Amino acid sequence: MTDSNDRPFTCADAEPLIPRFVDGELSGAQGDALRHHLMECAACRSLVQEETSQRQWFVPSEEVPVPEGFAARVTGLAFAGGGHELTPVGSAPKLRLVSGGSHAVRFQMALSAAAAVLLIVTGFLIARGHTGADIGGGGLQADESELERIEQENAAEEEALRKEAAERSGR
Amino acid sequence: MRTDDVSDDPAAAAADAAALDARLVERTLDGDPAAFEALVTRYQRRLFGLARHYSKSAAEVEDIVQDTFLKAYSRLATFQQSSSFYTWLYRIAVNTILDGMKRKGRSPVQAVEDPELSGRSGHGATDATTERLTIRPDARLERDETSRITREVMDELPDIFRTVLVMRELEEMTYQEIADTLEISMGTVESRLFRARARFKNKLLQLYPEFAGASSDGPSGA
Repeated sequence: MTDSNDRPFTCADAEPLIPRFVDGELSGAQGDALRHHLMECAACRSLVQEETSQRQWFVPSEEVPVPEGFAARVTGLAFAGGGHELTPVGSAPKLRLVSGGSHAVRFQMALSAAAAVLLIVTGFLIARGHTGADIGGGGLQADESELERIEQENAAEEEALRKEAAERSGR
Repeated sequence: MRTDDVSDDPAAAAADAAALDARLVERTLDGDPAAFEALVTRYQRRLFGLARHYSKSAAEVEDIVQDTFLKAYSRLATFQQSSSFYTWLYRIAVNTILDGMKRKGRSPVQAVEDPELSGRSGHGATDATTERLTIRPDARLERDETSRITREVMDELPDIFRTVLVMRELEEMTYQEIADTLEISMGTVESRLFRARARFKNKLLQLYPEFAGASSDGPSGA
């Protein structure tokens, strides 16, 4: 047998074609050339036999049973997810945000942080005897006016003491 | 690729299946849950069959298939119908499986030494010594036992090789279907399969040297 260039078809030509031949992927002139070669060459027939033998290891194993109601469950998850993608963990599905998810997560985290700060400030003010009306800037203003009131009381008390001392020395 | 559609004319059956898939995809995109459920029902068995080649855990297999269908749903608008729906779905499944392996620390790319670059002659001395050995399952082996051993050997292979072996030997996909699914050339499919089979044989004989059959002398230049 010769190839299209009238060069003899040898084992070196045949060997690389054998896997494709066994896989049923070799056709046309190459397939014809190999088939002719195999009729004449016991060594290459042996290679075909080896290739065929190896494929015997791949036997379809028993079917994996599809869980009852799988299609309905997946459909439910898909349509419940909207623009989100759902990823299961074990057999229990959970929601994982994928499409536009990073923005939503960032917003949620910022909101949580703000709520946490608010909670701490509220707790601090309640502990100091303030009510919700004093939260934030109002609380600071209340502290300043309280300080002024105390300073005024102290000043008045000092003034009274000075007058009392002056009256004593006058006597 | 195996199909579930039974017909005397395979081409007509494939055309019918493609038309039905196209209708179901269209109805799903219109918001019809029953259409999507029908798509899942049509292909769930085959995806379970595929996923079990990569995991021993039933729960994990279910997760892979569920994840695949949900990804398919979220990307359904991008399905161009240039390939069959199952090829498109299969590609999502394979990527889901390989991504999962990567997350678990098995890298399908780094696990091999540039298989396409190293060429057919580069599979090492051990491969060379096993190349001419016939390895056929012992006739006394039960089918399940053969399947178990094959799976054990496959588990030891780099994912890039296991994937093509599963596609070709167990899913019975053609070279063209494998090339379309993995988005690689036919030549790459052929060389990857060649190396995958050499690795399989090598690993099998490492684990079960008793399966080495009679050696042959190989071609002699007839």
